[in-house]
Amino acid sequence: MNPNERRILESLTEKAQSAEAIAQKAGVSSNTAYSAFATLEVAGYAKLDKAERVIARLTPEGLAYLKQGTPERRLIIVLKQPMSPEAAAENAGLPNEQRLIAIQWAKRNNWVKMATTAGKTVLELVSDAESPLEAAIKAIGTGEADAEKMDKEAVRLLRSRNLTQLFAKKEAAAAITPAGKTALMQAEETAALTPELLRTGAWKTTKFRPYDVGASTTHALPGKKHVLQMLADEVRTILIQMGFKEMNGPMVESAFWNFDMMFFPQNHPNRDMMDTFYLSKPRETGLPDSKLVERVKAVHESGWTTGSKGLGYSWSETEAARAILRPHTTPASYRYMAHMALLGKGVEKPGKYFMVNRVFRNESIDRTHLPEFQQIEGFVIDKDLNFRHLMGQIAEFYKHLGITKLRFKPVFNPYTEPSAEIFGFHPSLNRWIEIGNSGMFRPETLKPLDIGENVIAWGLALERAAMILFDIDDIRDVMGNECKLEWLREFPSAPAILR
Amino acid sequence: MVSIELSAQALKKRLGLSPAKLEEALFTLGMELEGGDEESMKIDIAGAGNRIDTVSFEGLCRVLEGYLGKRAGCEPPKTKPSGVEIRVAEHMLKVRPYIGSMVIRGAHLSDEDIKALMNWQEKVHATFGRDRKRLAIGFYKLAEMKPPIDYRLEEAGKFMFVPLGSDQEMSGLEILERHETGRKYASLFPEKRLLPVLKDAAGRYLSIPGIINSNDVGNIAPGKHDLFIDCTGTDLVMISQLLASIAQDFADRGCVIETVNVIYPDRTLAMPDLKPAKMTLDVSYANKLLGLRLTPKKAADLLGRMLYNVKVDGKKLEVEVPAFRNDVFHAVDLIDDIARAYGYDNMKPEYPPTLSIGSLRPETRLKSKLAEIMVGLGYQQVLSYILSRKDAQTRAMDAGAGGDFVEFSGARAAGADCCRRTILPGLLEILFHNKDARFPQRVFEVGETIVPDAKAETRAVDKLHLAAVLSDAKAGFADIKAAIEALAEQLQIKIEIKQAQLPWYIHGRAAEVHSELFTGHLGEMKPNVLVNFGLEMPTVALELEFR
Repeated sequence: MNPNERRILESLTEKAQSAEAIAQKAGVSSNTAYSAFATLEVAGYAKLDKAERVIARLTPEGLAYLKQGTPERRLIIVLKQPMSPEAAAENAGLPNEQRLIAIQWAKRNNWVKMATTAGKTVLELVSDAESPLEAAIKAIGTGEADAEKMDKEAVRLLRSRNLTQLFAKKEAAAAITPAGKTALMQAEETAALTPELLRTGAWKTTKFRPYDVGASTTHALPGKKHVLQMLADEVRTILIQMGFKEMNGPMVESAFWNFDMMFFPQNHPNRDMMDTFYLSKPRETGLPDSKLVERVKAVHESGWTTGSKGLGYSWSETEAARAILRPHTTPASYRYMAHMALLGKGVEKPGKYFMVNRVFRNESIDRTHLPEFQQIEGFVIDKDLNFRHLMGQIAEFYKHLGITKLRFKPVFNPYTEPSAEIFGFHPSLNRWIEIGNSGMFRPETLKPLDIGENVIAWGLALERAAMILFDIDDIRDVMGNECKLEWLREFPSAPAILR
Repeated sequence: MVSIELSAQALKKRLGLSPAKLEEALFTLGMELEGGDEESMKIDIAGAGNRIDTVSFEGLCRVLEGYLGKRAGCEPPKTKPSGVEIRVAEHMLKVRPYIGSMVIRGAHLSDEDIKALMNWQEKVHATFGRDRKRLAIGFYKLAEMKPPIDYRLEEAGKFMFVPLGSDQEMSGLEILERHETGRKYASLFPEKRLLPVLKDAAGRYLSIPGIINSNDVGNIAPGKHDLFIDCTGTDLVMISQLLASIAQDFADRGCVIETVNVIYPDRTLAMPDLKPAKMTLDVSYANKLLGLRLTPKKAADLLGRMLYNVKVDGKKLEVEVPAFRNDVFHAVDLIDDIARAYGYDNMKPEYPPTLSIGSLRPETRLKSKLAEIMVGLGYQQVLSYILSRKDAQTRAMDAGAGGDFVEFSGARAAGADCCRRTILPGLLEILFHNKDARFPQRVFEVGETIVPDAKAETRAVDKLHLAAVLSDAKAGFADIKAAIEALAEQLQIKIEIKQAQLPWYIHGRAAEVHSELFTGHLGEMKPNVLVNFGLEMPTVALELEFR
């Protein structure tokens, strides 16, 4: 809005006013007012009531009649006594072409009558009352008059004598709309507090227009952290509070670290049960330190020195070198333990370690399953840890996530013994829900790494935790390429559970 | 997960447990009542320890009866020689090397028993048998055959018998090509011309082991039978455990188990071998691992309930592990069974005493920082898939075909065949699925890409990327440039932005960006790339790879 438009808008009321009145109020010309109306109407700020009027203006001849009187008037003015028409016209100074008209109209107006004196025709004054034509000429004057409001006969006469011209004229009345009011309040340019007002001290005399705070605004689209990131951050915070150090491992893994190290027999259904992605490129990975490879081979074949009888088959290095996408993060835990003693990379023990990162399962996508998700993985390594410590560690962790009722169920994992599935009671669903898997790492998986301590470990899927904690119905809305942007935008930044 | 379906009535009759009690007992042992009705109960047994002996009705009841205190320990069945011999041809060692066998005398089989036996057989084949590759089992009427039995290869086109469930004699080759079961498992023996057979002394063909039995010898009708059992495969340990499990099941039903001599070129094995393995368990080790204070007597009782025969010897336990236990390798497995019998619910959680100082990796802190800055710039964080399509990574981006990717095949999620090297295609797919969401759409992801690397131990390395897109009618190069400049300012690093030509950006509206922390690119997406991703809104993008 330019300042004129604003002035016009400010002059509008809910009741329609004429353009002229508005222009006057706003102190602008009516042309300015009309052009402002157009803009305000397009913006939806003003409602216009447009009408067309017919107006009459005098022709130059009409204007001359206004000034000098009509020819018939000029004629009768000189009729102090009866005289011949010729003499009267002569006396009145009427030009030749007006003489006949003057006499005819004087007669028609019943101003004069014809008489005969001494065989000669003379005009005799009867009346000098104002004629309707004269009244009309006066009414129009030098300006204009609404033709529709004038005597119709008079107008016809004026036109027949070419004394007036009729014009069509557009006229407007305008009123303010609700949007116009909002606009006035929102984009207050003149009544807004400006640096200038502050600098000059003019604010002291400035009146600030009250806004309609209920007026609608445009929608702000905030940038947000992803809900799973919020939860992962929360999980990391909880674990750091409990003294866990973050670790990491590669997403492309060898079967060696993912399975063989963890006492999964080769050629065993469990390797398929995890729905592992075997890679066609790279097809094979390298293997770690040959001492470790030899030990793992011996563990599988005969138990080596672990006290185990082993799995009793001929272990294949080729199978161990198959490249996969990690189906769980546990190989990272074993890599870290390898760095503690055997490979001497200085990772501390005793200690607590964790990670939250992506894993891959060759599953079809549905409401509760995705082919990749994030796994929370944690382990504690120390000399005298026992199964009750595992339960205690897990209970403390879940307590911070708001899950206090836990139950442990025996389960089979190739790499842990004893092992427990973790069930949490979901109050709103009113039932027990599996929320994690845990166990103590088997000696067969530790001794090859020169680890003599006990290790308690657990894991769970971050997405599963999110679905339970945030009542998420369809994980596809949240994670992956079909996620719903509006869902993510609308999800509360501080969900109750994370407050 | 291994689920078995058992008759609800038979379970109730045998154990006398209400469904709720049954569910509780199963939970405590690590199993799960998945569902059930009047007719049958579906039980997930996987958590029990991946045990081959719990697949059968008899085996499962045995475990439950032990846990409930209705039996303690498990006496192995007494056996005597049956006199039956199997002669293994030397060439079998290269084809399907192992065969186990036994004879069961006096098996009363009802119609239902036979149905249950067949279900059990299929379940074992599908799970432990790895679709019969690892092992497969067959039942025969001993009365119909004449030992000794030969286990050998024969020319597929030359031998004939009537396969189970058929009335027509077929050659081995015909069975593989025309019989339903034959076709299904033909891949067990890729060398189709030569097939393994079991053949008796009278020249009768008992079966093509692993594939199908003869209808004459293998079709078992309800009634009382002496059964001959074979179990062939590649894993002798599991074959032995499976035979032991069957032997225990039938012995529990009152049958007599007799051994069969399997004569290999270099040795003779009397099967089944039901001798329990002996293990010694130090009770203090159990207490140390479980955090309990069990007396040797108490520990022995708990093991007894888990069907071990136990002798207490001071602080040590002499434990006999039944021959059907395929899941006991180490003392920790006994300790696990002690814990199950003790009941996890009866163990008190205790916070570990380990002291340690927590910390985050610098990479995680960087990722958080990046996310924080992008959120501040009004961008919504998303998590797209690392699993991608080569087509989306290359052709759709106008970047030509090919390239060096981590690849796989056979993904169940439609189309996925590689790991992403760039995040942008994933973000464009997200935009495609959100065309009805409000604009402007500002979206970013901080995440890993995976790149083949011959020098790495796993032949691939993970790279940290940041990618962002802004999609809006008025989106322009300046917007995304402003974003990257703000990012650099927040990270307090210098960046160098150079005009560049990149396949997916409009010519002349693209740049490379370099800094000590990352290299990357930014620009206005080319119209044809937007069209490739089904987009109708101008989009600008950036992607950075961190060192």
